[in-house]
Amino acid sequence: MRGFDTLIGQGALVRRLQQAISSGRVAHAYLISGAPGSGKKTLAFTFAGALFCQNLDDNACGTCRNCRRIGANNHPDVTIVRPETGRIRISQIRQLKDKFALQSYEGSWKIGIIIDAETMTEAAANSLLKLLEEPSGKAVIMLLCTSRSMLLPTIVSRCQTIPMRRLAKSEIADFLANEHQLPPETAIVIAGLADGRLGQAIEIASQENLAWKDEVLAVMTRREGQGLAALRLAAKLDAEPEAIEFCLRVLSSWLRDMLLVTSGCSQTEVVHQDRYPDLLALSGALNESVVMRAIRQVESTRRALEANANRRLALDTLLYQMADLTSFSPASEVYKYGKSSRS
Amino acid sequence: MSYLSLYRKYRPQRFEDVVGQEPVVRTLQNALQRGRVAHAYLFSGPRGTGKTSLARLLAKGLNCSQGPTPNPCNVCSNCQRISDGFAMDVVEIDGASNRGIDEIRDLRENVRFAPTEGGHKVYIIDEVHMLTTDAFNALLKTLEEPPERVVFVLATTEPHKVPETIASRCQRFEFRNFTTEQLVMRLRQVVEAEELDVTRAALELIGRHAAGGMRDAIALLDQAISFQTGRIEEGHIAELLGVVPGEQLCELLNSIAGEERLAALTLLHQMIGSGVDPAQLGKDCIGFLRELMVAKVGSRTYLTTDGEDLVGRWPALASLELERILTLIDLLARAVADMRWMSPVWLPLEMAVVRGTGDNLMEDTKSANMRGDATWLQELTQRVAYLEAAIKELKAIGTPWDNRLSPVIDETRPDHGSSHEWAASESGGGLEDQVSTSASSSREAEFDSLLSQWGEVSEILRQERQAPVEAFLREAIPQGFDSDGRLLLAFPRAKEFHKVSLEQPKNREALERVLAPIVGRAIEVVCLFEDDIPQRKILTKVESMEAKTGAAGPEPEASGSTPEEEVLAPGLKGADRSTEGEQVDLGAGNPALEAALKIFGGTVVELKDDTGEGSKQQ
Repeated sequence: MRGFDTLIGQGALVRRLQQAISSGRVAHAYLISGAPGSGKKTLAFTFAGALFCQNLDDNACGTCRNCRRIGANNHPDVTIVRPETGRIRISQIRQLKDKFALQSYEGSWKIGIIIDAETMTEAAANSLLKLLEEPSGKAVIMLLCTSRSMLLPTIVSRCQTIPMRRLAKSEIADFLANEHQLPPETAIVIAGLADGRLGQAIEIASQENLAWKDEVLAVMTRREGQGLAALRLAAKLDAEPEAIEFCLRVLSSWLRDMLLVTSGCSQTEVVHQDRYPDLLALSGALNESVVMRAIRQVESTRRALEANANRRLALDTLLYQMADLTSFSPASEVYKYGKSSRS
Repeated sequence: MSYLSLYRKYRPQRFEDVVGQEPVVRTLQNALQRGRVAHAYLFSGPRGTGKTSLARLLAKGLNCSQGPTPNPCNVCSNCQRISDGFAMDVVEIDGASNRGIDEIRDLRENVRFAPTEGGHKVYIIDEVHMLTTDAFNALLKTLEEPPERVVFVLATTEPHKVPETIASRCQRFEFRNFTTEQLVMRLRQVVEAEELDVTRAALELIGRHAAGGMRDAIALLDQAISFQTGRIEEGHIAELLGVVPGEQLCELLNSIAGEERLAALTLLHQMIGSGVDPAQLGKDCIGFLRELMVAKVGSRTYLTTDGEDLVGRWPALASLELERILTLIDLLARAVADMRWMSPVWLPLEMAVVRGTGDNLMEDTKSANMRGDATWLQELTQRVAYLEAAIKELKAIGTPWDNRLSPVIDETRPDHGSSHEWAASESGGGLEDQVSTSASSSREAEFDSLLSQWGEVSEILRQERQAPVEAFLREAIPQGFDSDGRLLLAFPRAKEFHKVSLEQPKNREALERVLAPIVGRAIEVVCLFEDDIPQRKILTKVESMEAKTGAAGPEPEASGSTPEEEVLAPGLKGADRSTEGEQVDLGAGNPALEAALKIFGGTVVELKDDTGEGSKQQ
């Protein structure tokens, strides 16, 4: 644990929390929301560290005994609740309440960190309500979740909400270039794919992923023999299913770029900036509705794959269609949509 | 004691402090005044509307040393202890944690003991909807006739989960959401008491965002205070909430309304850069459009911030039509829903912008049908115009429709009587040709487009669970439309079963239903045997169709007919439909009739036994 400085681009949030600590206005309940990989846990643990730190007043030094114990999940006054077999159950919340009913072990704060709070069962969530409203003594409960809309409104209204900010592309790109020694032109593409989440960016910035990206785009930009290339790629992906998610993301970001370019957006606004000329050339032959339909096609394939569709078949169909968008036929799609609306 | 959240600090301690909820407050105060306090209350309402607060106030009113009073003093030891939560006689139970039957049994044990310090024992069961069924039932008898001087207050956000037997034993009070004005009023009281500096616009933004919950509102204010020292303005709150300030929102919506796609996308990307939450932005846009919609309908003006009219500054936004507002709301709502699973999280919004700034980009037929989309209408209009022109042409030629149905007798050809109708109509002369030529080009085009979609017909039939129909259809070869626009299907003689099966009303109607949307009009299907059609009438189309669909059918030998002749094929109708065909057979057994036919030509329409003559048409 190295203090709030590890959180890139969350300056406003951090200042808010630091101000709360220094002005003695620490609330008893915080709801930290943000997409996976956006730094929720880092923020929660650093905040806990800052409350306990022996060296610094409003930050965690990471070296004192308290900071180290928190970093090692070993502090008696910091309780962590996380889902067991997928859910957080009422018994876990009861344990937390029992702990909060007592004085703290070391006479200072009592802190509860509930990770993946949206997995609380209904009973668990309800049994948290009274504790969340009026805990006794110096207590802080932090709930971490993907989106606040997934929690009971009665829970949300008892907390101060801290939405993790999505970072600008340039912030992530700078970080990747400085800390991970990526060349700037690659860094900006990865940053675009990471959807404003630093953790995501670091996760996907691997050589294999870069290779996959190039492969997908090679198929998309091919002028002839696309069909065969697409099927080859599908076969390869079928053998390495863990790359599918990333490749679909590349694919939809590519289509999104195409949509933006047809609308006249500039190079800095697209994800695949290094291939702007290709985008310009390809998008000339297409109109928006075809591109949007293609995007929907990618999404429905994604969902089909989640629902255990025949992987090879789904990939074959999708990539084959996407490889040559000019002949991507909307007619059959129209029928499909028409049908699904009736049924 | 650590810092106390403002919403806990400013829980109303007197009935006068309660904002809104007048019906509840007045009823409770009157009950206290007249000594008619019931033994059980059920408070229900959304979060942050004052259920727990009023329950505690009621306890205070009952136990204040001034006796049951509508105005508890807040200074006596009883009042103090209730405020601090130490009172022996006020038992607050968390129904969600103590939800089992055992806890309720404990409660029943303790209810019997008399109050120790105040006049009444008050049991406040919060989140009562989470009690188990057993626990509820165990409570019933106690709740109906509790010992003297015991009052139950049950509080819940979900009254529908409370059994009726419980609800009927309580006096029930519904708490309502606060209006924004009420929230702002209370916030201002808090601001004054805390000696803070907060602008009115900021308070209003808080109020709007709290959506009727007092706790939400005060918690937000609290957050703002810990966020910002000194004067708090609207921008600070917006930053705190991660919402786009009203100004930028207007600019974005204005450029969408003005169909400036590039400008709108650029604005959107600026917002991405500043770290706005996409879902929140989508919801804010919807919220703004909703206000605009309500203002358009004309009930009252929502669109004022600090008294300034936004609409004047954004002309495109101001002139947005109601229809378009609804469309945009639809688009944005869909985008917000899509965000949960779409991978570049901004993509749904970008698509909504692109679609919102284009004329005819409605994506699927569903929305096209629903909204009367431009392309859809255009297509229909064109079709109608075409049909009108065709009818006009027909009328100009002056051909009575009925004549065309009947055979035209050509005296120059003596052998006409032995042949069937098409022989007659084929030789129908200049008049017929004109008509057929004019109609034929449209029919032909229609038929071509149908052939190109023939594969889909099968697919749709399968999807519609009409697999048998599809199977019968496989043996059929579409021949074209007759002059009435009926679709002619030819079957090989060997496939009689298929033909007969497809002719059954159930199957035929299923096929017609599927064909109608493809052809774009209601359509009738006529089944024929191949060899009933003169060889030269069988269409070359068959080959082209086979190339497209790959359906194997017996290859007709003859070909080379011109498109005009296709349309003459209507002559087929009648005679070859099985029902009328029977009549012809009937007539064939009758020598008198045969003789008559030989002389006059024509078809047998009706056979009357009494006269022994067929009345025929000419």
